[in-house]
Order: sequence, then C-alpha cells, then structure tokens
Amino acid sequence: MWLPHEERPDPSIGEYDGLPINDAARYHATHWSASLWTVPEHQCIPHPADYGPTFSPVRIWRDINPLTQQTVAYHTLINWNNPARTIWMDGREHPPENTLHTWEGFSTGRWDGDVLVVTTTHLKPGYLRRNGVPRSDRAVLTEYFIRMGDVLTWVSVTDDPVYLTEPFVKSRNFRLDPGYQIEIYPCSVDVEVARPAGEIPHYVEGNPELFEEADQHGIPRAASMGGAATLYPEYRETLRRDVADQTAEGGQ
Amino acid sequence: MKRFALVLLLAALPSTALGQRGGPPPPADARAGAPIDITGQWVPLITEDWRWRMITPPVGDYVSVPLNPAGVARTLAWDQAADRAAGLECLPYGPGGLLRLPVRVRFDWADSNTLRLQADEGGQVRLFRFAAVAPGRELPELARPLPVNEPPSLQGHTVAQWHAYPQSRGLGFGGMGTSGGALRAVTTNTSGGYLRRNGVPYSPAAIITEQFNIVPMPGGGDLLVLTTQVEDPTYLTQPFVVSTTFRRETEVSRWTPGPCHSDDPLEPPIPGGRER
Repeated sequence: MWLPHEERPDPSIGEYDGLPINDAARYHATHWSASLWTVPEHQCIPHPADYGPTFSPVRIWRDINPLTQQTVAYHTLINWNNPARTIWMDGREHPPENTLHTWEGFSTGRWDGDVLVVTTTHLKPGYLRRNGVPRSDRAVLTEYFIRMGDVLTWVSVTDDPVYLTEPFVKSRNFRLDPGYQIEIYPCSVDVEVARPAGEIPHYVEGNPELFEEADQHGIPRAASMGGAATLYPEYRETLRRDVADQTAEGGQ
Repeated sequence: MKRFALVLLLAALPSTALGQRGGPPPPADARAGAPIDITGQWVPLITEDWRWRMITPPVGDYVSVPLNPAGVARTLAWDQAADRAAGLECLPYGPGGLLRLPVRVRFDWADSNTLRLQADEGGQVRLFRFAAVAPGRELPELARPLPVNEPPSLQGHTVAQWHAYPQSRGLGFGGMGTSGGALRAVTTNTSGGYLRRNGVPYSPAAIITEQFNIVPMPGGGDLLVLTTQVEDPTYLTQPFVVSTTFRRETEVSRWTPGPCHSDDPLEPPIPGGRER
C-alpha cells in the first residue's frame, strides 16, 4: 500500500501553465465545463491510467506463476473509484491498434535495472488535467516506478500526437504504508442536474471564468494558457515582458 | 549421501555467490564505478507546481508542505525586503530548494571521487563526496550521517554513493549482485534555507536525502528524475518529499550564469497577496 506524499489542490479553470499543449487542446479546454461531471454517463468514470495516481492511495501487487516463480503481472488499484490495472510482465505483445480501448488501457512492463518501466496503449480519451485539458486515445503512456527506500516515485510520460507538442512529464511520490486498507468505492449514477436529454455542458464562447485565477494572482494570461515554452527557465524572460506590459497598461 | 546433498546445494547457489572471488575487480574510484553518466547539463521540466516554482508564490502559501506551528510562523513572517537588506537572497538556493527552481544545472567530476553540481542562476556549487566507489545497498554513512567537523554553510555537506538494490535468485545464500543504479546523496550541516522562494523554511537540523535516476525519454534523450526528501524536526511534522524531472541538454548555449535573483520584476507588480 502506498499513500501519496503530496496534497495538491485541484487545478483551477484556465490553469494550463507548464503543459506542452497545442491549440487544439487549448480550444477543447477553454470550452470545457466542469458540469460535465454531473452528466449521468460521466459520473462514475474512473480516472484513466495516466491520471489515477495523481492524488489517491494505491495498492500494488503481483501475480506469480507458482510453477516457474516468474512474475506474470503487476496490478494497481487506485482508491478513488477503484480502477484496477494489469501490467503484463510475461513479454506479451500489445494488441492490434483497433482493439478495444479502455480507461486503464493495455500495459506491459519490464525491469530496467531497479526501475520498473511500463508502456500503456489503448487508452480511451482522457485528460491531462482535471480542468478540461484533453488527452487523446492515440496517446502512449510510459511510466517509471522508482524506489528510494520507502518512497515510491511514479513518473509518467505522456506522448500524445493529437494534443501535445512534446511529451508531458509528471511525477508523484508515495510512502509505503502496509497497514492502509483501501475502501470499496461504490459509485451510483443519479440525476444531479435536471437537463434535456442529450445536452452536454460546455461553453460555446469559452469559459467566462477562464482567466479568473490568473488575474487574481497577476499571472499573465498568456502564461496561464500553457504551451511548451512555459515549461522552461527562459520563459521567465517572457513573463517579465508580459508583466511589464501589464503594468504599463494598468498605469495608463 | 551427505556429499551428494552438498553437490546439489552448491549447484543451487546463485552464480554470483560462487563467483565472487573470481569476479571483476572493484572499480578504482567512484567515477570508474558509476552505473549512470550524470555528467552534463540538465534543464528542468516545470510541468507541475508551476505557480510555486516559476514565480514567487504569495507570502504564507505553503500548500502541500507539512509545516509544524513553528514552520507556519516562520513562513508567515517572511519578509523579502528584510532578506534583501541582510544579503540573504540565496536562501532558496540551498539543497532543500535549489533544484525546484527554474535553473539549469551541470554535473561534472571535481576529482575521481567527488561530483560537482553547479547551477546557472545563483552560481551555487555543491560537492557530492562519495563514501564508496562501487554500486551497492545503502551505506551507514548515508543512513545515519555523522556530525561534520566544519562550519555550516548554505550548501552543507553532501555524502554520496551509487545506490543499487540487491538482485538475487535461487536459495538466497551468499552474495547478491546488483543491477542498475542511481546516485544517492545525503546532505547535512546546512545553515538552513527555503523550500520555496517565498520563505517556507528548513532549518540547520534538516537532513536532505536525494536520489537521482536516469531513464530514457520516449523518442530519445535522457530524463533525470530527482527524488528529494527533507526531514526537519524544527519546522516539519513529517518528511517533505518532492520529485523533479530534468531533460539532458546537449546544446549548452542556454546556460545563463547569474546571481541569486533578488530583483525579479515579476514580484512587485503582481497583486493577490504578495504583500504581507
């Protein structure tokens, strides 16, 4: 059992800074509405493989062939909504491209020294951040599981030719907690908001709260919209210029 | 019968246990024993915690840092102007905070048993002194660091090793080989510093454990994964753990040396709580 070390706040509307997204992803995100989660068909969707470990405790165990003592597979079970994954370690191939895509995808793993390397394909469309930033079903997820004593660092690299201009790298840290017990997470569907059949919440003109968070903190709006440039130290020069422009406009 | 059983037992022993005397000689020094090549220039990928890393967060923003009441009080009392007046602009550039900042870093060998870490912004240099030359399990020098007979400093005293987990098969007798490996380091004897630029503190009593792993980037290139654990009985209720990723840069022209920044034009104009 592994418990997350960090307690991060949920991402704000319009908080895309640091994400190497393209215009298509930005368009999708800026028109997304959080009310989507109230639609019955969406209420019990588990976090996909690439988002599940973002904040939730996780159990990891393995299947061993009793005759050969070889590891056949690892499994992960995330606390929130109980999505389970299988990571095949027996050398099998990934299925053909048009095989069923699922929330957790199809995963194979191998040990590279003392690092477990996992490759996942066949993911359903998901999200890079839970504020509408999309991830396509063509994405390939590569994960590295690294231990430092009782700390597990879980690195995810998402390569998505549809919505990213370069791979998105993130990492999470967990601490070993053998006494923790995962709870069952029954999810039932309910009518949370009455709306006409077939209506999908979204913002045709873009979310009116898109820049609320950035404006509150004085972060230039362009920075909050993300893009690969915002990942790198030299982006601070752009920030300086944008802040100077903002200040000049404010003064006028 | 006993002799037959002994033969069977020897046959079941892992080859590493039997072959140790005839195995390869130990490396001459830590440089020769390196299981990974960490030397070169690395650029951070600031894809997460952007608003705590790329800009200076507001005073009192210590989200996800497990501060105790003394740590909270110290955080809330942070005064940037006072730091500047006292010449303490480099407090975020100690080993507890430096590698979360938007700075490029370089590793090279100061000598055959000492790795050197340099950062462009802030001009800080830290030395990783190896306690052993070959990869292996955690050394006592890192598990229980001893007091250091030198004055405390911002970068402190770092002891390092090539860490690798034992990998064994068979009946488990005898020695165990290792596979892979990472740079593990423990830093003590700092003069304290900031975990974040906005004055979230760690004290001189802090023990900072780091592990650097190198994994391949899909599509090519190297990814450096740093796991940092800060244990501080003065300001933290539990270890503060973060991980940070860097991409290897073969084009080194973006190395931008500079002082610890104290005049960031981002800070004064940004409203929303920067003022105390």
